[in-house]
Amino acid sequence: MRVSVRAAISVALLVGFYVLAFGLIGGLLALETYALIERPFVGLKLGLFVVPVVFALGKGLISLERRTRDEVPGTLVTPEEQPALWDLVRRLAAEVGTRPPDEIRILAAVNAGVAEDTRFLGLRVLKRRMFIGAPLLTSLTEKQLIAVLAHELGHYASKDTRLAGVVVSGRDAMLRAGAHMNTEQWFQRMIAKLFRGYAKLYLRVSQAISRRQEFAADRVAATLAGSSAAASAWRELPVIDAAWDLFTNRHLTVAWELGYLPTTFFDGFARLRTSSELHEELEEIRQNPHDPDRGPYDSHPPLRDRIAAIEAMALEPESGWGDRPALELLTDPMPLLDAAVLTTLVADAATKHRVDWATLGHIGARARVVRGTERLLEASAAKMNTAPSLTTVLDALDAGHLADLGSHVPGNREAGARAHREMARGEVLPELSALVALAFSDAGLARWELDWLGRTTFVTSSHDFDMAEHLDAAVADHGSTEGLRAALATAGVAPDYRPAH
Amino acid sequence: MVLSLLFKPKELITVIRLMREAKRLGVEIDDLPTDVVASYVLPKTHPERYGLVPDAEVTTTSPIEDLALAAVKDDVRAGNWENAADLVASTHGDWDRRQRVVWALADLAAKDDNWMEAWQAARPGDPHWIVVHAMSLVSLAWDIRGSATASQTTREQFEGFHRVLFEAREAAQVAAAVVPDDPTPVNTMLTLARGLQVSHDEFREIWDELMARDPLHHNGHLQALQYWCRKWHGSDEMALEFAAAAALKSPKLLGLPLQAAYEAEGTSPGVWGLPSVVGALDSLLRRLADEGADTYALRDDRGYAIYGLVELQRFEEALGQFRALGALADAGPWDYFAEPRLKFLSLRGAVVRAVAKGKGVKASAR
Repeated sequence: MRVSVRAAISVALLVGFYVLAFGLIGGLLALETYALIERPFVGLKLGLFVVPVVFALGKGLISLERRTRDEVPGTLVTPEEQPALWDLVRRLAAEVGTRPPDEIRILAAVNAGVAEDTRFLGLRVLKRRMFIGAPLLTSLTEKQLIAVLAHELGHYASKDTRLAGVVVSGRDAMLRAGAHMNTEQWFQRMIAKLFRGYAKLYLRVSQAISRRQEFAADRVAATLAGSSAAASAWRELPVIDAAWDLFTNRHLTVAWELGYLPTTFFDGFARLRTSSELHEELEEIRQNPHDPDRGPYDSHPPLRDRIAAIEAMALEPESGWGDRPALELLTDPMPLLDAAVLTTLVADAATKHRVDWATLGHIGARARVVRGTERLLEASAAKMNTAPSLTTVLDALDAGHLADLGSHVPGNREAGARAHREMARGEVLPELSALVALAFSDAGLARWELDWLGRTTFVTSSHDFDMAEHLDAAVADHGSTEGLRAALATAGVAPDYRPAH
Repeated sequence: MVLSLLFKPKELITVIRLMREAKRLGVEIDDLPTDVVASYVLPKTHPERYGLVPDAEVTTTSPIEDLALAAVKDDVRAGNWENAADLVASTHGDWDRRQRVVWALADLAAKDDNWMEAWQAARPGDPHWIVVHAMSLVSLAWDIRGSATASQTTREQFEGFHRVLFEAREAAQVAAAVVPDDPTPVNTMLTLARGLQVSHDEFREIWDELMARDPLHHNGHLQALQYWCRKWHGSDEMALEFAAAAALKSPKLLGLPLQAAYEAEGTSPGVWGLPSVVGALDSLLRRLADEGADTYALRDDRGYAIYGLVELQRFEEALGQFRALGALADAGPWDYFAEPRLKFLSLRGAVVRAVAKGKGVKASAR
């Protein structure tokens, strides 16, 4: 099917959506009115059905129109604050042949995009916004960034059919269909289903247009930035995505629940991106780019196909674009980018203590270790009927209670005492080991270090922190905690030591 | 299992009857006494007319085969280890018996090892102690893991299983060094090779060690057969090939191809008809003709022979084997099942019925 025909059908479906919804509402109200006049009693009964349905339909329609009430994400940058970035975007828009955005916002995500506030399922545009992910600004070259932004603007290029632009906005609106419905309620659930069914039909019909538009937008990107810059940018996106994922999950928020954040963000991300531990893994992603999971209705063709198509065009870049890091487009970038991350994090981010990266890693790792010792402390305290402490644990072991300190059961129901004891040993040894490590750490003799891969290592300055033998002896049958107690005393650990949270 | 019942009206009716009976007795259907279940499930036949013991007399309890072993097991349960230690020492040279004695004591030691500690304290460096100790760690590992499927086994159970198996391997290596001519610790390594997922090459090395010590080690062959089974680290073909080669070595290993076929029948239909399997079965039947059923190994062979004969529709011969087994349903393949006695009785009932109808009566050419 030709694009124009598909686009026409798509737009007809968009309009049809309203016709369907309003038609249903109108028909139901007419029926109700008729019934109330002719047979008031039946009318009242019918009203029990009609009123909730009309309410649900109305709510569904509102859900399509309402997104703009939500807070717009990202940090707004004005042309006065970032003249170079704005100049670039305006120049690109002119080259592409579409109107420049009204706003530019920096996001804490590996993403860029142009979005429009629309009414009537995208049939009318109110405001155009460009979003640029902060990690892209720190990781791409200027040319690569140009490719990314040109692609996004390319979606709105009027060279394509005029209707196709509407189709894109329509897709966004359709994906929201029924989003505000309360699925606990039967009527609303039914209406939401109806809306979604219609939306699916629309998405199917417009899928081919969207795919073709992606390729067309890629062509715009390659024309402006050149094939090699565009292809390399596309290859780089999954790399940045993986690094950003690791960064946010394992580093940025590692001590979040304890109330800590790093003093600065993007210096850490830059170090992570260039760290030797990650080099191999990131290179692997670069060579075999995989598509990120964008949900079932995503319209992007596979990344490999797009890269191949771009490379096949073999286009030279338009002259005048720089090959410097994209970051140099920004004046005083770090505070801006950090602020973009901070606004993306939930509201109480501002109340967190800010510490340097090394301290943050130690705090995060220590908290995990503390959690891992609580069970053993409690079990020992219960067994010995006293307050939980390291000494209580050692006393319980010396008293021969190893088997009672475990919580796991062997697989064979007829297993004997020996199997129970053996399972307890497997459980208690690492917990005791963690407890001893905490005691040394809290005595200032050791600390945890987090490498950029997210692995923690226990680092100690003392030369003789090899507790393995003492620990084994403590949980051995007819073992002894003597060696361990002596080592702890030498380190200056108080007998009633218990890790604080 | 519940769904498959829908396609078997007869069994469905039986299940409904059982449910009714369970309700009457006020218990869950799974907790019904075996005898009650048997009375509903088993075919109504007259075993005594065919020279078989009555259903009620059939038992899964093995008769005492080794009086000395039974006596030391009682001693051990009472906390006295000396006789056990002496018995293990006295079996040196009689490798099949030594294997049985060591394994039985190892099972006891896996439950409670106080007597083992007393033994070690009184006779430090006793080479026989470490032979039992190594095997007891294998038993202990399996107690920790249990016999549930992988998805029903916890991470901690798997970790404990592997940790103790590694200890068992170390202990077995020490034992093999201390008693260099003894195949028992080598067989311990062979037994734990499955759990540690030992590679084919490494397994063959251990196997060669065992063969150098006792080329006809009975339990060793059974352990190796399990290793070569599809469900562990081999395939139906590998297991059948291994078993066929073993059967050629000695009449005492003629049961192996039948066990291999039993393991393979789910994935290799027609396995019972393979010439190597039928050949081993016929040879085994000839050998069994001169023997009774007074050892576990003999009952094991007869059990698998029955299974094969039924698969081959040779019901009258199967009936003969049931006659030889008498009341003992303690060996394979019955011991594979949660209710070995029911499995034994239901198969026996089916055989009696088939013979009553005159099926499979004419014996194959012999």
